[in-house]
Amino acid sequence: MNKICIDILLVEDNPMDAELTIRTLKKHHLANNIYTVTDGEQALNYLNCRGEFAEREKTCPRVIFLDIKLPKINGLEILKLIKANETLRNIPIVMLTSSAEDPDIEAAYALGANSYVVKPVDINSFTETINNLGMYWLGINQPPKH
Amino acid sequence: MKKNLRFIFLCFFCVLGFSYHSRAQITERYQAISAYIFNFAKNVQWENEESIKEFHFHVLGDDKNIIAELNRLSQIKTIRDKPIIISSSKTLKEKDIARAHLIFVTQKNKDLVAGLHKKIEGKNILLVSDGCDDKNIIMINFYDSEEETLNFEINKNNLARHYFTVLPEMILTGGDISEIRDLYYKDQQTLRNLQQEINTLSFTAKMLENNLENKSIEIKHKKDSLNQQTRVLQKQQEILNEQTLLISQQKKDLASQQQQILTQQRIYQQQSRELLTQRSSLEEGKKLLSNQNIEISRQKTEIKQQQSEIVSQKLTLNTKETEIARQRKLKILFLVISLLIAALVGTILYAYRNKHKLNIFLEKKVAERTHDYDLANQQLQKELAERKLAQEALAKSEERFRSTLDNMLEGGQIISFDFRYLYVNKAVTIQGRKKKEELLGYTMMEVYPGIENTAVFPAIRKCMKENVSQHLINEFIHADGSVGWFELSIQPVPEGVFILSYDITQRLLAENKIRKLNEELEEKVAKRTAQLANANKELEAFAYSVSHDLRAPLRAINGFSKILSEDYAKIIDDEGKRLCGIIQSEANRMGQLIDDLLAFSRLSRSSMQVTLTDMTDMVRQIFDEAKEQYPDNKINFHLSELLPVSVDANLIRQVWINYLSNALKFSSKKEIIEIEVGCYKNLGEIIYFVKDNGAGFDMNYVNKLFGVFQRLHNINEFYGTGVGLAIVQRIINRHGGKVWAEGEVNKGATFYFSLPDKI
Repeated sequence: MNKICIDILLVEDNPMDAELTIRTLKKHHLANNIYTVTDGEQALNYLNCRGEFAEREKTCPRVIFLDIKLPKINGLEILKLIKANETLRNIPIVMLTSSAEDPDIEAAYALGANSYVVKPVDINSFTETINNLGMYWLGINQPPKH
Repeated sequence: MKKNLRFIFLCFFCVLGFSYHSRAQITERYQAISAYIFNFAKNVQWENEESIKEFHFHVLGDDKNIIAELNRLSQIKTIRDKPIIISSSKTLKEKDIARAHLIFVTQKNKDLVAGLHKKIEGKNILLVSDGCDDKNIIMINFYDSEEETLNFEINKNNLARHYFTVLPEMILTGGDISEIRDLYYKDQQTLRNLQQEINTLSFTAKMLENNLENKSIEIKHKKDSLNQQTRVLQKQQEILNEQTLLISQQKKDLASQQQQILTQQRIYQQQSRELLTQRSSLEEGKKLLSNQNIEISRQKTEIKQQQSEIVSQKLTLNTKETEIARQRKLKILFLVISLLIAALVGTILYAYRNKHKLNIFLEKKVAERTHDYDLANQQLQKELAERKLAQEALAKSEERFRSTLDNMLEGGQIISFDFRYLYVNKAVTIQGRKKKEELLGYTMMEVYPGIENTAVFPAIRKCMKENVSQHLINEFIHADGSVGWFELSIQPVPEGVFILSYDITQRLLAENKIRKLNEELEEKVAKRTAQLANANKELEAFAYSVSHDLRAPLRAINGFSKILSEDYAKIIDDEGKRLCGIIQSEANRMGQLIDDLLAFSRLSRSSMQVTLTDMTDMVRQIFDEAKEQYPDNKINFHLSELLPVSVDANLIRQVWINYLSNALKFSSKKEIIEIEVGCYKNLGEIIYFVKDNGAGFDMNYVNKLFGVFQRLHNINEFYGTGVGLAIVQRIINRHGGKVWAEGEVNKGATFYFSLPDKI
């Protein structure tokens, strides 16, 4: 665990949605290196290699899938903190949330989100969206060099 | 001894071998000839070979070996799969010639060849001769060469003349058997070479095939990789499409929210308008009040006029009184004069005693004068009577005016120059809360201490000084501390001033109340709008959380049942898969219900944007889109020209979509769908209707049609959540219209909605 450079950091508090996401990515062999955290504080600890992740080797995920509705710290707050951090700001962040509200979208982009994806309600659209996301961010998109 | 024996055996075997050899040579000749004959027959073509059923070879001669060999060979071989019959004779007979195909003349009978040649002139018979010298008459001839080997020669012209064609396989120049053997070996060698070449060629062919296979496999691999790349590209395109869809959806959401904001602004504007109308009504009340004030002032001026009339009449009264006094004085004078005249008359009588005529004259004069004085008296009396009448009339009018003054609503008081009450009417006593006895004769300061400090006093003073009427509103504090407001009009009169006072306390209080009420109203309105906005926000938040939080578990139900049916498909039987399918479809249906409910609730919250809408165009657009769902049905659509009307276009669009899609859906089972859309005016409303020839409904349940989640049909007959008509009713009610429907089971239904006819 310490030396593996993960592809996706999934920040999702709802375990059902997290499981669906991971299963969908697994079916297309995109879920080999995916790590899930269930709240913003854990996410920040993970990225900064502190707290419970102090032993982790300092590698950055290729992309972060970030939900907005999280316990403790709000997803937009997390976004702000990550983008404010010199070492972490280059990691592409995809907001993956059920909220389709304009204020949320505006705020996310204003804080520097790289993408905003609304989780579809219908399961077929959901799996398709997750697949497309995985293929794009792990296959087509070029991550920044670290 | 032994050496000799060995030599003898060697010689013996050599001789044997030689003899075998020579014998072989000798025996071979007839064998060779027979073999050749068969070869010749094989290698030439008779004219009508198809009609030949069996080949006849005739031997002319009695060479037994040849005949026996030919017979033997005829058993084994066939020519063109046809049997060969050998016959022989020593002499040539006609019948032999007729049936023979091939005639072989033996060496001994070579002299007969010439005669035979003539006999077979023009016939399709092959003549094989042996040792004939005449080369012109032979066809095929055997001869022995100088080396004693067997050769044969062929005369091609004769063969042609006898209608033979020579096949290429014929060995044209004969040779001995060893040569043939050599040829055979050569042929075998060439065959082997050819076979070797064939082998190598086949080998190279196989190599090439292998190469081709490898290359085709490579090509397949490349094709696969290309396919993969195209798939990736397709997926990218799909991603792009989805993103554009998302963007357009977000734009639509933005537009709808902007519209919502605009509609809410409109609400506020409407409410402000309402406030304005209330203000205008208040102003109207104020105007009324001012009108009343004007009327009051008019009445005051009238009263003033009347007062001036009263004053003038008083003056006339006074003058008339002085006149009466004068006239009384005149009367006294007249009396005195009459007395004097009487004295005169007496003296004149005394004088007349002396003079009668003078007496009569004087009496006449006296009579005249008394007559005049009588007349004057009468006149005076008349005038007196008139004066009395006038006085009475005056008194009456004075009484009238006094009572008017006394009883009028407004307070009227006459104040003398030294601020004493000369006259007060009833109203003054009521207004000032003092009795007449307490006022009349007293000064104002005595009655109302402190009044000299109010604004009244300077006004009265000014009026007295400058003889100009004053007008003011005065706040008056009663003895008990209560406050009253009076409108005062101060007029100069000869005695002092005349003050007309009007109690406006109630009016001012009312005005204050109205102002306060207005302010309160505005506050209330502001509060209510804030409350409404709050309620709206709460409802929005509620609806949002309903949709969001209710949908998340739905997604989980849907997703996991799908995973179950897919990943565990091997151990779940068909029934299990069907059950999973039911779970998914019901979860989807719940999602649909949530969406419908949300749309329904959003309706009552959104504000309306009213514009003049072209209904005909809208209906046509909606129907063209809706009917694409039913490509298999024949649809007759009758759309009459619809009247335009002022409505919220988006909401009315929803109404039309619901009505038209219902009409299509419930008529979809009929072969020909007949739908009619029209409108008519009725009592200040425009009524629009959609008529179809579909499943219809039982009129007993017509009241349930427009209820929420109410359906009159099975979900399997016709799909629907039961919210569409409820939405229609809500929208139309908001516009101030009504909805209703008529129907008959299986004959069709007509759905109506009415809108107020205003543009």
